[in-house]
Formats: sequence, C-alpha cells, structure tokens
Amino acid sequence: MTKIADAEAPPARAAGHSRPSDRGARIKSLLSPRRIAGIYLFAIMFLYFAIKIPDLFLTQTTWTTLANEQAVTTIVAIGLTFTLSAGVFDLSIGAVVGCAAAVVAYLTVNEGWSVWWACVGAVVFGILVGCLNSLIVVTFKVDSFIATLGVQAILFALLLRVTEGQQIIGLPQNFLDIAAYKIFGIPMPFYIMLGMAIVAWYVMDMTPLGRYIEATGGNRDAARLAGVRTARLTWLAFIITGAVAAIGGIILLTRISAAGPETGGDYILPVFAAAFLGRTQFRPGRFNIWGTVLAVYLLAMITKGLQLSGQDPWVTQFFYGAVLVAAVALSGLERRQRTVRPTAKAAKAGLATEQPPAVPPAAPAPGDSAP
Amino acid sequence: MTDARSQLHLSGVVKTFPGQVALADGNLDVAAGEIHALVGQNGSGKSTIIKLLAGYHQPDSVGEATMEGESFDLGSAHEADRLGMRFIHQNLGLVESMSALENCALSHGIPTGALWRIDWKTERARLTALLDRFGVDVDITAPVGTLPPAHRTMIAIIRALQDWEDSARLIVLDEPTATLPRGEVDRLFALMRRVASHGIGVLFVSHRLDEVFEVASRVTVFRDGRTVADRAVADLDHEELIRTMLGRSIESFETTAEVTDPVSALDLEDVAGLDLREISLNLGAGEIVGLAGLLGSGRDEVVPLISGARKRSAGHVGIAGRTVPNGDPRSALRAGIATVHVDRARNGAITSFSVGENVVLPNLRSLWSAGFLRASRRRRDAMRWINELDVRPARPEATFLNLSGGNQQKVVLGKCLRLEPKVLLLDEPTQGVDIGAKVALYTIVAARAADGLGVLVSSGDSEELARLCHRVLILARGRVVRELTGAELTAEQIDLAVLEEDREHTKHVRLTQHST
Repeated sequence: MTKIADAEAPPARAAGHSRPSDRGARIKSLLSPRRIAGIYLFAIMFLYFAIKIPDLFLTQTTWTTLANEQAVTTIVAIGLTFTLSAGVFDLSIGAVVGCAAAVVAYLTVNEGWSVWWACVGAVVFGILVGCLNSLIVVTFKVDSFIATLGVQAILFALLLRVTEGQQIIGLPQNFLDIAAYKIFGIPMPFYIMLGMAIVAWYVMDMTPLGRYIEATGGNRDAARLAGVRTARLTWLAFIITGAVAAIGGIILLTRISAAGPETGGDYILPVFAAAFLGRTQFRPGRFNIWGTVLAVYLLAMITKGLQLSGQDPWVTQFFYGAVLVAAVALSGLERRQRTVRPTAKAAKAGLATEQPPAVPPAAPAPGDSAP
Repeated sequence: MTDARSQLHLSGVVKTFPGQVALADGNLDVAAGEIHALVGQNGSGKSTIIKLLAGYHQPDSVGEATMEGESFDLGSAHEADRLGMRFIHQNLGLVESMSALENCALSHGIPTGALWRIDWKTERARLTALLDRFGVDVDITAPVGTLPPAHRTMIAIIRALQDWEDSARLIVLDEPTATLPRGEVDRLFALMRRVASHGIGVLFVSHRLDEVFEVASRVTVFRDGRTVADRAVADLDHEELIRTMLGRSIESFETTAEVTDPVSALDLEDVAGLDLREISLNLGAGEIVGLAGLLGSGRDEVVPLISGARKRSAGHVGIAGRTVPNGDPRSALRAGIATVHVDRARNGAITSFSVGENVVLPNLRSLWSAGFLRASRRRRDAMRWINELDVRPARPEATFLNLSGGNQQKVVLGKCLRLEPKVLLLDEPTQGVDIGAKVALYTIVAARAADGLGVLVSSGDSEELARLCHRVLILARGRVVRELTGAELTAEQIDLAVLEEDREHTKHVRLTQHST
C-alpha cells in the first residue's frame, strides 16, 4: 500500500513504489535533475555570467530591470498555464496585453474615465475575449490553435484602429508610479506577479478546480465520462487566461506609460517558451505555475546575460524559438521513456507483490499522517 | 435457468441491427458474489448483451430482466447505474497523465477543506482503505500512464467500486485481459476474486478460455445470438467448451489446390520485433500463406515488420535474393511488397481524398507528363481498377470516406495491385467488410495468386484463413508453433490450435513463475 509521506504536497511524482519511510530517497528525488534541472541551470548560468561580466551582470540595475520587465511576461504566462492545462491553446494573449493597455489609456485619456475604472474595463475586456475564444472553440468546435490565431489578428486590427497608429500618452502619474514604487529595492510589479502566482498555484494545485482543468487537458473523454464538466472548464480556462493577460497589459502600461499599435506583440514567444519549458520542471509532463515562473526568469536571465556580453539582439528571438522547440521535443521524449521504462521494472516487481508484503499494510509508516 | 441464487437475470432478450440479428434469444444469470464468464465467437452476441446492460443499445424485446428480484428497464444507462451495475470498458477511461489518487477523486468528488483546498489526507485515507480492503498494491501517486497495464485495469476496477458499500452490486469487465501480458493476469484475477468475496457479482467477457477455467465459477456461452450454455465451470472441460462455443459441424471449405515446388517470392529469416520473437518463412510465388494467433502471440507484428511500418529488431527479409531495408516502407514498396494495412481508415487511405486519388497515390509518375499531372490519365487509370474490383459507386470522384467498408477495402486493394507487386501482405483484410465484399476480395486475391503473386494473410478470422490459404502458420508466444496444411486446414482446426497453443503458453508461464 503506497502511502505518501508528505500529506500536504500534491501527489508527488515518485518513480515506482515509494515507501514513505524512505525520506532520503524522497529528498533525493525532489532534488533530482529530472525535476529541477532549471534551478541547476539557473545557478550555472548565473555563475557563468557573474564570472565573465561581473561589472555589468552583478549590478542592482540589471536585476531590478529584469524583475520589473519580466513581471508582465510571467503574469501572462501564468494565465496561459490555465488554458494549456485544459488542453487548448490561446494565441490571442499577446494581443490581449496590447489591447488591455490601449483600453486603459483610451478610456482615461480620450474618454476622461478614472484610471482605476479604466483598469476594471480592461479586465472586463480580457474576460470578453476569453468568452469569444470559448465560444469559437467550445461551441463552434473550431480547433483552438486556429481560433485564437484568428482572434489575435482581429484584436491587433482593432488595436491599430483605436490607437490610429499613434501612442496614447498622458496617463496620471499616480498610476505610472506603480511601476516605480519599490519595496526592498524591488519594483511593485514583481510583487503583483508573485501574488498572482501564489493565487494561481493555489487554484491549480490545491483546489478541485485545478484538477478538473488538468483532467480536461489530460484526457477530455475520460474526464467527461468521470463526470467532469469539460466544456464549462474550457470556458473558464479561456476566461482566466484572458483576464490575467489583461492584468498583464495594465502592469505593462504602468511601466511603458503609453499604449501603441504594436504593444504586446512580442509576448507570445517568450510566454509559450516559458510555459512549455516550465512543464519539464517540478511536475514533469504537467503545466505548472512554479515551473512557468522559473522558466520565465531562467530564459530572461540568460538572454540578459547574452545581451550584456555583447551579443546582437537577434540572439534573443533565436534563443526563445530554440527553447520552445527543444522543451516540447524533450518532454515528448521523456514521456516515451517514462512509459516504457517503468513497465519492465514493474513487471519484475509484479512477481514480488504476490508474496506477502514485507511491511504489514495496517502499520502506518512514520511519515504517514493518515488519522 | 431462473433460480433463487440469481442476482442478475435476463431471459429472452432480442436485438436486431439493420440486416442482422445480433441477439435472437439472450439469457444470462449471474449470482451475487460469483465470477461469471461470458464467452463466444465474434458476432455471437456477447458484446451486444453487455452493451444492452450498459444502456448503450436498447433491446427490441425482453422476456424478463430482473436485478435482485426487482424487474428493471434493460437498455437504460440510468437504471443500470441505479441498480449498482458498474462497467469497465476496454479502454478503461483513465486520465493517463494523472495519478490513481487523482483519477479516483475525479469521479468520486474531490474532498475539500477550508478555502476549497483539496483535502488529500482524507482522499488518500479513503483510497488506501479501499485498496487495503481489496488487497491491491499499486502506486497511487505515479501517473497511471506510466504504470503497467494490469495496474491500470485494477485502478479502473477500484474506481468503479468506490461507492461499493452504498450501491455497487455487479461489475462488468469487457475483455479485461485482452491487453495484458500473461504474467500480469494473475494479479487481476486475485482482485476479481476478492471483489466477488465481498458479495459483488463479477461478469467478465473473455476470449481466452483458459482464464474461464482458472477464475470463473460459471460460464455462459453465446453462439449466433443465442445462449447455448450456462454451466458450472467445474462440469466442463476445455474441449467441450470449445465445441460449445464453435458449435458448427465441420463444413467443406473450398480448398485451393496446393502450389507445388514454387519459386520463392519472399524470404523471412529469424525476423523479430516487439512481441514477435522469431519467424522464418519461405513464401512461394503464387502461394497464399495465413498467420493465426491470439493477441500477444506476435501475429500482429509480422506484417508491419515486413512492410517497414515498424522496425525489426533482428532478422532478414529478402525478396528475389535482395535484402529489403529495415523500417522503410518506401523501399519495401519499391522492392515489390505491397501491403493492405490493418485499420484502413488510419493506415490504408487518405480518407478525405477521392477514390481515384487514393488509387493512384503510391505511383504518380506514370500520370506525369510534360510537367503536369494528367487528370484524364488519372481518371482512366482509376476507372480501370474500379471496374476490375467492382467498386461501387463506380466514380473516381467519390470521396473515399463515403464508401462502405467493403468498397473502401477494394479501393485499398486496388491501390496495392496497381503497383504490380511480387508480394502482397494483407493484415486483417476483411475487418468491417460485409460478406458479399469478402467473397469478392477473396476471389480477386486468389486470382492474383494464381498469376504468381505471393500472398501473406494475417487474420483473426479463422474462417477466412481456412478458405483463402494454402497453409496457415499458428503463432504463440512470439513464435511459429504449428503449421496446418491440406485436410487439417479448417476453421475449427485453426481455432483449436490457436486456443490450445495459448493454453500451453499459460502453463509454461506459470511454471516459470513458480521456479523464480
């Protein structure tokens, strides 16, 4: 009877039959490069740049800019994790970021709204885009990749129309101060991102809702037959992604202080790269919030380091593209290995299980907190 | 056979499908706490009665249907659920990326604490207690997709029994062992016995008769839509069960004349891959050789390994003295090996293309002239094959998808024959093909063989093998274990040989297990 030592954590991914008493083995598996290669890579790359270009890399400006810039990417990626977990793509997020920024700027500057009500308007806009995506994907049964690609183009067209090709400027200073406000030397957007990550992690990992969303993405038919309302959950996932992307757009606006026709266009690639790279971390094979967050900052740090060591700007795009493809290929490869390897092992173990178990099943192991 | 001990009782069930009587007189009695096997040939009606129970189909008429003395509406999924019937279909319906814990929680309802937080402690305790109760030892935290197939089946059973104390009364398993390696079957049986010992009826469909003798206490045999026997397993022996199942008198089959001293068309030397451990074969020009064997015997691998659809792990395939490269369908085709693959919708055709486009697809060169693909030539070429094989409708423009199964298969066969191959491989060539088209396909293949084409047929339909082939190889545990020719070559003999060899296999596995 396999029990898990840690009663709090979501089911840990242990290979084969894990015994709760095997705490050493568990910690070892938690720290194994298979699960947290990203953290090791982060440390290695950090050391590499720190030794190679200490004057540029180890400055506070570098790190506050990094934290600030990447906060928006991370927020959007967190939102995307919901749709990807539900087994659908949302390519419209970049356009939602741009449009949400434009909605705030337009309503405040051109329509004279209070900037805070304008922010609410932007989130409502994000929700509406989520509804539109769901309508096309769930109700009209259009493949999500195509549907959201189309919606993205439509949104960018609207963005161009509303901004008339110009930057909308003139936002109130107290709104723009959000990006500049620092706690312990780290700008506000980073904390906002952190707060959203914690909430998203809680929802995805700790509540039934998260499991239902994951089941929907894991095997839609099986989930539906198990009584999961897959259509409704797909709607919800799109709405969350849209709303979160809109919040990302608002945060972005506080930093760049103007909304233009091309705002948000460059988010798609890093966000997808991070989500897919994140899937190889912590809970391999499943999209997860902390994997995504780690991946965003890992990728950002490496590109920052490359830029600072004098590489041309094209390297960034190239790097993100390569990472996206490699992450997907790797997780595919890993999945195949996982399904082949344990079978042989378990077949061996299978012969042993008919024997009386070495530990009496009734005796709870020390780590087990069952009542 | 109504008696007091009966938990589920069905009698006089009739179900017809357009043009076919699936069940003429179905009877079934399952007692509480009994392991009851349901056996019969394909098309005997055993899966129909399961689908009626599950509410997937509705019966035409029912004599009597009672569950624990209460009569119920056969054919209603809701009624079945209310009465505590639980069904485990072959594809289990688990979310593979999720753990057993999550899969079970998903359908049972996830327990939560404050702030909707999942209460894993409660859920784990619940599932662990359930597993303990049924003596199941599986990893409940690993994604079920990474677990061995038997564990997955057990998890599906446990999931179906989650609410057993409240309502589960009867659990129905549709060929639960079909995809399991032999060694794992015992563990599943142990679970079935424990479930039964809790007073829950276990009804399982199986085509492996050995399992019936091993685990079941009663067996119901279906044949041609009728219940022909409901017996205690202890009163039966293996041969009698097979006879009851097959039931037919030995018919005279159209045995084709034997090919004497043929020119070799295809050479297989120690070919191996996946379940197939070794096959060697010399297929003569003009000869039709059949392959028979149950799932897991390695039979399914033979054709893909030759055609290049799968990579051989060892061995040599030769045609006219030249070696056929491994794992490369294109060079196999070039060498003169054409294949009618299993599952034509997936492997055999591009279903959205027209019939004509499908026929000409493998060789477009002959249609190419002066820098254009000539539509008129394509039409002419396709028309020739449509006429030759009598495809209906006889229009090259018709979409492949809209054709009947038999006509689709004719198109696929035409596509292969157009390449003028030296060897034709047929993998389950008449799956989903009606009787009329079957005969047409046999006639075409036999005619081509008479012209010197070497044909290898892998089929689960023993009737087909007996009719079509000059000789049939029986595969079990990854090897050729017998060869049937001449007078031995009847459908009954093939069935007997397949089942017997499989039984030998089980004995063999048990012995090796005990010795370890």
